[in-house]
Amino acid sequence: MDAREQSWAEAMRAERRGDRAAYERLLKEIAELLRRLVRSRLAQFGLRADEAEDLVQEILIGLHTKRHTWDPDRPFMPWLFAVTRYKFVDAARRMRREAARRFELTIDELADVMAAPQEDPDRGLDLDRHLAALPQGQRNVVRSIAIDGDSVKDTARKLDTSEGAVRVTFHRALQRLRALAAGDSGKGGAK
Amino acid sequence: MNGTDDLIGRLSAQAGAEAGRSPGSFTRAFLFSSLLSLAIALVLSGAGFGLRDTLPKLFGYEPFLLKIAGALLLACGAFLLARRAALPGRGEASWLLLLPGILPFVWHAFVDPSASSARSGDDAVNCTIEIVLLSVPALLLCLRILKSAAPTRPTLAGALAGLLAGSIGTAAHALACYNDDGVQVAIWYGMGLATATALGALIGRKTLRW
Repeated sequence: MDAREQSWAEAMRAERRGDRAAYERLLKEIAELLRRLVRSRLAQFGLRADEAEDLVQEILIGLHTKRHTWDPDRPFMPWLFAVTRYKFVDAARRMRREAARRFELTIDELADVMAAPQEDPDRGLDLDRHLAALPQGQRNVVRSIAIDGDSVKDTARKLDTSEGAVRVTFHRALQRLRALAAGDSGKGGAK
Repeated sequence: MNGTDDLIGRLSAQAGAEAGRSPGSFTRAFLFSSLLSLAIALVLSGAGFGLRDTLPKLFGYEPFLLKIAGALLLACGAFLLARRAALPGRGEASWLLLLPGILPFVWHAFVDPSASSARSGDDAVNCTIEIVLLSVPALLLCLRILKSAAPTRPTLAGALAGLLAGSIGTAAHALACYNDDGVQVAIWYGMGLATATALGALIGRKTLRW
């Protein structure tokens, strides 16, 4: 603690003399300390790892822009602690606000969820995503046959086309979906 | 993490750029802006409300001196507290610093509860309003200077800036005010100070963040 206090206070004094290397070393050491500090509080803050690094950077910028408020004749650690603590409190307040906005639930969403049949939510998402990749004509056919469960005949009547055309379109759509699924698992591994 | 290293590279390139600034230079700037605020408030008080006609004689007049002394001592206490609140890691200054400024008002209220209210031409409510108005320029100046430092509790720092500005406004108002009743002064001046403090807290909470 005392060794660190001394070497960091000395580096801060060196910064005032324009010693760039000493200052860079100091900031790196402080960043490492902050990183450990922030990570130990990740869960408490509900932060992702990249957001944690953002917070580290925010604290670094704060102590850089306010470094003139440290008195070179006084210990450095209490100053660093006060600045860090302030940035933590400030970030926590901001995140509470953002979280409140992010998780805002509308009555319509609730109604939609209640009205929808219960199924595996992830499957639904995948299905939508894949369907969206199909051309309009193929999508209509697949939706009609595979999701609404209509027969080929009904589908043809609904889409105002022939049964043969529906069969061909459906076949092409399936091929395409199979290709998409293969590409997906090729890229993203399992799923 | 790479981004952080880039950032550190950029920041360290500015080494030495702030070498001319220190807590000492902040204190001097803060002191200067407080004195400037006082001068502005005095001018506004004289121009806007008219100084007391018998002003030169009043410097031996106890109720007047108590008001001035209280306001100026309160300003000193608020200045020291606000200064400390703007420098991280220094702990809080003692609230007892405000005591010397409060005592003259309390003493005045006890010793001289109804001295010369008869000659008071002012509507006493005006004291509160005028103190708040006179403290506005001081408040803006103080908040600006505090913002240049690093207040780690923006609401508290803002409240102290408000108290300092209120004290400055009170000192300036006392030169124009005919109200010498100790109890009335304590009440209406106190309300002016409280309003200025609350105003400072409200604004500081938003503007003093960094």
